[in-house]
Amino acid sequence: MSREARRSKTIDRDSRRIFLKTALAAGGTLLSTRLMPAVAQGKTTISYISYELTSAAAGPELKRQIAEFEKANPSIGVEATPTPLAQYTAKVATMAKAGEMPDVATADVLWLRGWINEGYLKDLSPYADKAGGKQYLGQFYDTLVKLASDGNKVYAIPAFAGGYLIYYNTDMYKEAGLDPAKPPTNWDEMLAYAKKLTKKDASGNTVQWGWGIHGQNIPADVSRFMQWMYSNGAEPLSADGKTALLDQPKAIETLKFWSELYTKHGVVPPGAVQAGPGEVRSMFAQKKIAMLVGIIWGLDQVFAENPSVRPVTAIAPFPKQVPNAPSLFQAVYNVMSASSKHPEEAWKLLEYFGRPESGLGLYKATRYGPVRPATFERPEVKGDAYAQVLAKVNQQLKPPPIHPQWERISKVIGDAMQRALTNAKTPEAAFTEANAQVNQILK
Amino acid sequence: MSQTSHEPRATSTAQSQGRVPSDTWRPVRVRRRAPDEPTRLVRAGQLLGLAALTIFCLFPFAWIIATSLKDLSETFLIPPTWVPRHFTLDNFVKIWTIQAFGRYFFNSLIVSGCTTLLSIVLASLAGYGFSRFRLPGGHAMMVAVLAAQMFPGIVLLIPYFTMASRLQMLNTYPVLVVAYTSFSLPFCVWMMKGFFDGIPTELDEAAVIDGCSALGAFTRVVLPLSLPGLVATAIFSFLVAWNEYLFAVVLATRESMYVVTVGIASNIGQFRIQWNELMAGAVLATIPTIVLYALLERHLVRGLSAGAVKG
Amino acid sequence: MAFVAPSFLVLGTVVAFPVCNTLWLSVMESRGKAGVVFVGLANYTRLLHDPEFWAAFQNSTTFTIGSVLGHLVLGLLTALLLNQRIPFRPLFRIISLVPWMFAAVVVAMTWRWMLDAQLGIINAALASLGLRGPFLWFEKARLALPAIVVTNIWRGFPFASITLLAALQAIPKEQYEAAAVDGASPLMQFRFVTLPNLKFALIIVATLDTIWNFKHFDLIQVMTNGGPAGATEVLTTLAYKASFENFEFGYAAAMGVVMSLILLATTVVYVRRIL
Repeated sequence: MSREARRSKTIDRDSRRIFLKTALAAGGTLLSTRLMPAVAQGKTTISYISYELTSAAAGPELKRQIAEFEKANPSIGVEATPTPLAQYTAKVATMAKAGEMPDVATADVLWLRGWINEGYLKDLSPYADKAGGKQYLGQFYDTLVKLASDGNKVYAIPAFAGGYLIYYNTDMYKEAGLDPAKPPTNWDEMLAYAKKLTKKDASGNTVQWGWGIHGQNIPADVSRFMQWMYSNGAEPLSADGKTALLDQPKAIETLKFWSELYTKHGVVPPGAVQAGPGEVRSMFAQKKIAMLVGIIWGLDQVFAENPSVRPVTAIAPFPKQVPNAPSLFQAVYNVMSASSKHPEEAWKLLEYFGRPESGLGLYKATRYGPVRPATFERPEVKGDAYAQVLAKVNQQLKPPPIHPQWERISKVIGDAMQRALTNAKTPEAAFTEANAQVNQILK
Repeated sequence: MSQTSHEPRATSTAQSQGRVPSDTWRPVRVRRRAPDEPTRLVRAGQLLGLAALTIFCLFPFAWIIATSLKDLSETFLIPPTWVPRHFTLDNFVKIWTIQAFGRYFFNSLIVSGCTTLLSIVLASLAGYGFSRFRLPGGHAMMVAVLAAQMFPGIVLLIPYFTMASRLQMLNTYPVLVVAYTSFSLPFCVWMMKGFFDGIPTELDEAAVIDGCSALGAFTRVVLPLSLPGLVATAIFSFLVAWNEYLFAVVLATRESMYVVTVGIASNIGQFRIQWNELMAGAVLATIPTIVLYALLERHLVRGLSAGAVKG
Repeated sequence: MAFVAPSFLVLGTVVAFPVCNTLWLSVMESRGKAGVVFVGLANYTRLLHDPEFWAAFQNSTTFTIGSVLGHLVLGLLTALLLNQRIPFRPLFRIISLVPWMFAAVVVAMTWRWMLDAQLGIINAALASLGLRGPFLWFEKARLALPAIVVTNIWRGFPFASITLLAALQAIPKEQYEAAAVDGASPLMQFRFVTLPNLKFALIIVATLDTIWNFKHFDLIQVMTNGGPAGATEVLTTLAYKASFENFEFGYAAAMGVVMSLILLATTVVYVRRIL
């Protein structure tokens, strides 16, 4: 209808036609509801949204799992809506506030606390109890379950997770005289290696750098910086979440070492402040940097961008500056809406996504890290060198700080990171100021 | 247009002014420069301006097109390439088959088309009303039209969604059309009022004397003279609707109601950005606007008001 | 009156409830699951004392003024150029419309990539011209705001150019002819015929452009998300963070109200010149 309307844009002189057009415009909009697709009748339909459904790698695998689920549960229909990540949290918050949140949704670990506090999520412990209680939840990594819990209540089932580790280029190691089987195990080695791996060409321009820094003020980059803090035994917040610890020596030391890689030692390519995970991975793929900190499922993007880098890419645990330093991790969960009208059916879907087979399928399709230690023992995964490194890393996981205002605190830390990188403030000053700001937030 | 000949212009002017007797008239093939034909200097300036305009407008577009025709392994090469070494149409195929781009396109066309139509009709009516009649509250009402625009979208989002949800209007075309029309109306109303102000009221009065109603005078006489304004209004409303993202992504909770902008943005993931598909979608999304503009361009010409009123 | 009613009906339906809701929310504070609590003008006083708010206000203003000026100047020049008799005029008019055809998200992603320090074509082009780089557009606070302003100018100037072009078309030829007969040079014609006739269009473009750029969100959020270190944080991104990252819906609503009042004041100042 609209195409015809556009073609007849030559303005009619007859006033009756003006009335007709007004009526057409209004009526057409209402009548166009006829053109909309009908909703499936007969089954119980639950709605599921996820930004992972838009991913070229994870989307098809998730859709396959949903199809299998529907076959196994003929009375349940799943309406899966791929939702873009941009404004995803705004969309969920809006829907939740209007009581229209979809039954099942994907949530990043960083949003969980806020959503739990705002009451968007349903307590899953009654369902988990029926499924085996502690035994059911015990199959997942402890930290993952703890992060989704509030006392005895559990609000999310882990979907995939993985600790931070480093990628490094074995060819560049060999060229620099380093042993590719011996990645750095502490910060001094890291700096020494990075310096060796930074090369200049004949005219003095640097063509290869040792390390890639993530300096954007986004959660993913701040998380990578948190990994540095954890590896130094530093914490951003006290255990009770009431005081900021950014002005402690170990925290400042971390910011200093990290930013000086860029400002002082020159082992990081220019533009660190605008480098996010994608940019840094691209630089690794284009063989501009030798090492970076990342998650295991970034490997496939690197290989897709430059297949020739695949045979020379190795991964290793993040260097520990203090003994037994843990790894931070990224994790994604599936949650149920508090206002869900079909909680039983929604739980079935959550349970299905939480099966070992589902996790394995996801790993095989996308390299998204498994959420249970048992998966690493399976034959399909045991022979995978990358997976075994991840298994080792996952043995010592530590969550990001659990605090409802974490997103806000993370922004303050991100600001401080950027100030240190741009030399707008010294690391001491940046973190001292940030500390004061965070204490304000914690009040 | 041919260049001026090299004969001194003074000759022809002098002749045409009658200062030189016509019996000394020589057939000189002199081409008088038409009044609005530019001089060489002006022409050079124009070409320079056009070149600058073209480069400025098109270089990002060229980059977008180039990326949409590459595959991932070539996308991030340092230094970057403008012409793909391995030309591929895969990305366009992917968004059409793996994503439901066809459906998104259809939805966008309907919503944008209806918004454009509704905006033109309402804005021209309202603009005429403001232009010709004295309304109670007068100027305050005109400012009130603009005031609707002043709240930022993110702040209005939740209440609008809640309202739509209570009225069972989520996932319908009208909810989007009405929202977008409200975004574009303020500008369109003012735009049309400005155009109508420039058309003398004598024309309306003449029409009324000839037996037209107020509405008739409007449609038969005034509206045709303001075609350029209508064209600008149409393009504006279409683009407002076509490119809107925030409201589109939040007000549609089913994939079958997604529009093109949402489809394009779906390529921005948490862990990776599918650049090639993103750019392919962006390229396809420009086509309807180009078509619309091509159809309307001929109306964006000098108005017929010249010579319409003679005393 | 009947002419105007339908428009007000549409505008009213969409805007009335949300605006009332926002006003109501701005005097409340949200307490998560516990709902909302009446706090009077506390949100507003908090705003006035919040250094982040003032920094964002300054950025918003700079962004808006830069964008509007850029749009008007570029738009006017383009409109004047495209109003003349040039070869392949329809083609050039479409070309001039190209930047406006893309969604803000696409423009933001593209320009962010083009301005990337390592992977961007702009730095590559500048390097090939021999300029010592690389230019860190998003690293230096001094460069980041201009970078997004330039991007926004690129994206939005076709609006000004097409509106002004339509307005130029409506200027009666006789006025130019009369001026030419009186001996006016092209520059004088521009000053005494073109500009006065364009006054209405210029003011309306300026007003609406100011409103839109002041409350623009998508482009800035995707390009810099307020970074580096808040150098490009504007009021809308701040309000977004308040709502959807901090869940402080009342505070965000108060910000929205203040923004609207600012825009209302600005609009009244502009519009009095043409009413």
